[in-house]
Amino acid sequence: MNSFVEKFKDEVKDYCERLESNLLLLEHEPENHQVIEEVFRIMHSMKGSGGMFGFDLLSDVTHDLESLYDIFRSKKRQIDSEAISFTLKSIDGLHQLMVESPTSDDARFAEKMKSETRMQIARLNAEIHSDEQEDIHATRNSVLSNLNQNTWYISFVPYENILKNGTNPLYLIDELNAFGECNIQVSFDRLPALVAMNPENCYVSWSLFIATAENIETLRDVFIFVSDQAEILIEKVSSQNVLHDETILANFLNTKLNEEIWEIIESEMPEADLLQDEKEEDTVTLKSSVEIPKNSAFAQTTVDSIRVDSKKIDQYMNLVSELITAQSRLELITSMLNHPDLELIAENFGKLSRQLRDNAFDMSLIPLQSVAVRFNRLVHDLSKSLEKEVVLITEGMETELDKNIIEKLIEPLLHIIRNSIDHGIENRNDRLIKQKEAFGTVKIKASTTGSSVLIEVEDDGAGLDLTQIKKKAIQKGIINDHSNLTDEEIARLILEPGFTTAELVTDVSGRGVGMDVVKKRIQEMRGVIELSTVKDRFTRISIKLPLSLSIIDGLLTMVGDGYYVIPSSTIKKIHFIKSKSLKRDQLIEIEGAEFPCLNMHDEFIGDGNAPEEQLVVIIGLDNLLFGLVVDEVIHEYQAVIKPLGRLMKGLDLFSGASILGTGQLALLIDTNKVIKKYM
Amino acid sequence: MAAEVIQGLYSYFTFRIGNELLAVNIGHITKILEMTEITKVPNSPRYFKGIINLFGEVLPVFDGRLKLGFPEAERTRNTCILIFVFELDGQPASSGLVVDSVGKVVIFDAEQLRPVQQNGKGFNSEYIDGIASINNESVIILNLEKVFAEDEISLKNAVD
Repeated sequence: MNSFVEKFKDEVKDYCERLESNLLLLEHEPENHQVIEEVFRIMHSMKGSGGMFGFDLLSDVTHDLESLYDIFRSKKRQIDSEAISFTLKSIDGLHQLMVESPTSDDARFAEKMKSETRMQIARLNAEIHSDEQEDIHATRNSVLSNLNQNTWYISFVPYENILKNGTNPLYLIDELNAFGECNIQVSFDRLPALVAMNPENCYVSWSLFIATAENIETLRDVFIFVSDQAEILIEKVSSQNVLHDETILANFLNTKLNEEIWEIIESEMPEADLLQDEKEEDTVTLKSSVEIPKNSAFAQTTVDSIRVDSKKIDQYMNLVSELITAQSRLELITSMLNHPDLELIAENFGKLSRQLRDNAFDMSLIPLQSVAVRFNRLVHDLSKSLEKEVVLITEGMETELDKNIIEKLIEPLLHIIRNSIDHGIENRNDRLIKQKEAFGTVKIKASTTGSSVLIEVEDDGAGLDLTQIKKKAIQKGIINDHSNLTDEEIARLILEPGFTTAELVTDVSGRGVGMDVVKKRIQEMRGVIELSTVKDRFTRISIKLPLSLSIIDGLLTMVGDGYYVIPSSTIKKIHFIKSKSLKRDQLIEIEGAEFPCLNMHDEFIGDGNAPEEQLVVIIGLDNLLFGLVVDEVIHEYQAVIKPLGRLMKGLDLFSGASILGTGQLALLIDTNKVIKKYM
Repeated sequence: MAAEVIQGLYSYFTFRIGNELLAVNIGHITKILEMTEITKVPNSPRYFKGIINLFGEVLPVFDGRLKLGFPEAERTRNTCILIFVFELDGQPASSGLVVDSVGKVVIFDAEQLRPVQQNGKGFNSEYIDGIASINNESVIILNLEKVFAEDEISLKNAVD
């Protein structure tokens, strides 16, 4: 049972995400009826499955939300941004109600949410009333219930013998007619030839459309005494009076002929007043309500994807990388044995395992799209709370990244967006003075380049105030007065610890967790962060990240008898060098540039037996150059990185190890730490 | 791969380092390996021999002699690597310990274990859970958590 509950929780999370993205869509296209239908459907599913798994509070609250959306669905009102913001807030609240045994606090919370929802409904209904001058129908029980009319389709096919016990079908039709406007069709289809006709039999049948405020029970009650003497079918056509819309009625009959209609579950909420002139939109209503069975929320999720525990994927990745290691051993041994049959198998095996690796690798990648809704949400919330109009443009959200990276990337990205909106984008007046569009734009663009992914966040705001930044940095002692920095270097100062330019700390950003944390996070993932800005035009922050944390492109080198991998992304150049020309703690000069270096042979082995000709691998970090002197460069190498384990956390030069084809281990050099230590 | 400590066993596995007969609770032992090639990790303390590849997992290996304060010695054909699992901050962690030779599995009841005499042996008495005897020879029961507990820090500091 518990696993069902877990599944349900996952499902609700999924629902919430879909709700959020749909709501954010509605913000821009409030008249998009299909999205409202989708929102309504998701809420309905949530309510249903919530009740089924005993999350009664969740289901209660969703019930009221559903009622709220019924107002929009039935087109009594167009959705407004107050309602959208309210719903987004409620969705956050729903998470809190995901408890199996609710406390009284939870119940109170739910009650609060419910009453807030009812207030929203009341607000909207009040607006509906004020909209409609001639609304004369008194409310019955509360402000919630007001007069409504649904259009029903009723098919009444009496059995031939119905007249025998004194029933007059015409009375029934009359009774229906009393409930509201009717459009009645009489069918003589069953009428036999005159000779075969029995005058005591009833051959006539009726089909009618009725627009009435009565509910289906009342309609059924009309036929209560003839229910065993006739075929009776009552179905809802629309939540409005559509009697005068031929297209809808015709469509309805057509669909009826073609397929059996699924029963549409009706909410208990009272329905709309008449909106008879909105014919075109009515057609949409009808269509979408008929399409529900095909398009329902359940059908979409099951077909093209399955949920897999991410631990299983991790395990799968581990097994695959072990297989790759085993495969390269096999290759090595095969090449020594020189056995043609074995070679054939080994070659095939190698091909398969490479395919398997790519496949496994692919599986652990997820598109940025999966977190895009959080960006949208942030922009939505911030533009509300800061009262700035901001439009978010996303590009390349289908770009895929290792899920571990995406998880670690969310916070930094959200922080950057927060900064952009809070500090970057000016308020409306300032923008108009600067002759910019009244609304600000934040653009997130992602693309894949080779084995790395580039993500850019750009705002069209005020740009970085370089003079201010420099002043602040001097004040804080990050740089000294005389530092002669390029604009780019000044811009990069905002990435330094303890730096915040915001004159006043808003509740949005400037809370101490600054851009330095963002930079640290990105570097932890072996990523690079860059800034560019033009005053009053834009600020762009570019982040370059490896596709995956577990596999990196590296350069396999050798020092003494040990193997070392240097991440390719940091390497600038490789040069030959005479070992005699190197001394400890000395700068080396190559092509006019001087930079410190580490002679790995001296440092790691210290036997003084370094080969005469060594190589210096020049790595760069934040515009700093550093040389790693190795004995030998073997080749480029795609390394599967294994963590060193928690016991070795204290190691300050290496961030992992990779298993070579021979089964030997190569240590992965952590360039950040090496530079920090030997610079 | 994800080995875990098995609690509540009274069996102990014995091994020798120098002349000492040592034992650990068998719940901590996951494998016994023949001496294999150990990849040295530069700039690490001497008792940290390096890392090995154990079926695709990278494990640290410590020198039992140096770790427990014995003089260094040449490896012999009896030299083995014991693979241990122990709790580190509540999570199982694995590592290897090079020992001179391995013995056998013995069972000690709780009353057979004697508390440690202070400073009785040449190494840190904190590492010892108790002392038992087999055929009149003392067996030192090691507490692995304590032996390895400081290593995270000492690796940092012991670099010359």
